[in-house]
Amino acid sequence: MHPGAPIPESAQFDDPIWMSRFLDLANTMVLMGGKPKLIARYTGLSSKAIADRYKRLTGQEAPAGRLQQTQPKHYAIPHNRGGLDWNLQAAAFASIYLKIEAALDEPANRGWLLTTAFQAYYRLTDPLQQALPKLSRITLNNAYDLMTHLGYGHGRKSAPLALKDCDDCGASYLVITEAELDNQSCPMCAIQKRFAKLVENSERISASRHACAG
Amino acid sequence: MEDLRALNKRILTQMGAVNVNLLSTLNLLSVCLGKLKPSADELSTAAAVVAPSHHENPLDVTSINKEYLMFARQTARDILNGYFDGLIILSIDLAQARVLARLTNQQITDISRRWLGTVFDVSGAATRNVGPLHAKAVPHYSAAMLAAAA
Repeated sequence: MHPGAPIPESAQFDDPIWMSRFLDLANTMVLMGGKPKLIARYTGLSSKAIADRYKRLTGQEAPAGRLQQTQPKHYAIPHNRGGLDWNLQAAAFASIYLKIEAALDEPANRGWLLTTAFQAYYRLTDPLQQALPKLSRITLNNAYDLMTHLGYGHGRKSAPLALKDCDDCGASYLVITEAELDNQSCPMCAIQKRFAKLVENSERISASRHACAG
Repeated sequence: MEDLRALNKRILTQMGAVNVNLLSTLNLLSVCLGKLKPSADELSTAAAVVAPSHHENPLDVTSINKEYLMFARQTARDILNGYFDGLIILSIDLAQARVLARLTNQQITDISRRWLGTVFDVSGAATRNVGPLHAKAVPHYSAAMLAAAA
């Protein structure tokens, strides 16, 4: 099977036609730091086989612990571990994931789709990461968590997270579907407002200093 | 990245975009500001037409169409080789990518000349009247554009 072709949803782990693609998928997920449970879910490999791949490919032990399960607000509302730029990154991944899903001819294997969207997200945000080295991008494990919050198939209509277009700046951002939409604002506009406020404050301070000196 | 930057700059200047922030974020922008108009079927039909057409685009339109289609063909070939970020860069589907990847130079020239106007629509963000962003907010705008609907 051509390495560039998507793995279809119907592909089975033990089907000789797809087996090599699932092994490639496992290797890619290992190199991206995916949790063993995540890799096992989408490739059918045993924990031992995944641990072995981690050692061979990265020289490190497989990351321990359960799969990340956070509240939807973790991606849509700024918090102490992720600010407005984190919300923008989450929205960028969500948008890429949904667009790739929509661009395919037939439903793809969720693991393949997750990994492909994550690779695309990383490549497309590389120039930004170079400009802002402190920027925190989402990880593959975050991406999986985010994917579950976006829902799938018929469940997407009632999914806890959805993308909304901003009428002002044209960006799309994540909103919590169960919460009041009026209270959820676009992170890009919020970033701009924050910097504008800083400029306004510094001008006010500078003006009051001049007045005092005069 | 260099060819994408050049194409985006040309789209913004030639098509008269009003969003000033896009020009300042060009170096970080990883998506094309032009969205291919024809569907996969329409593109196939346009590529197959050999008869001379009554319509011929002005030189500047033909030229930007050609630059866009050349870039799109290369990106489509990358997509078919497994670099699916091209779907996001061009905002196309896999069926369009298959047709684009097979276009010959002659077909690109013919489509560029005969398609009624530009073969792409300018991204909605480019035509949006957004006030100038603070210098430190500008880099984040590239992520916002990545998240934006095509």
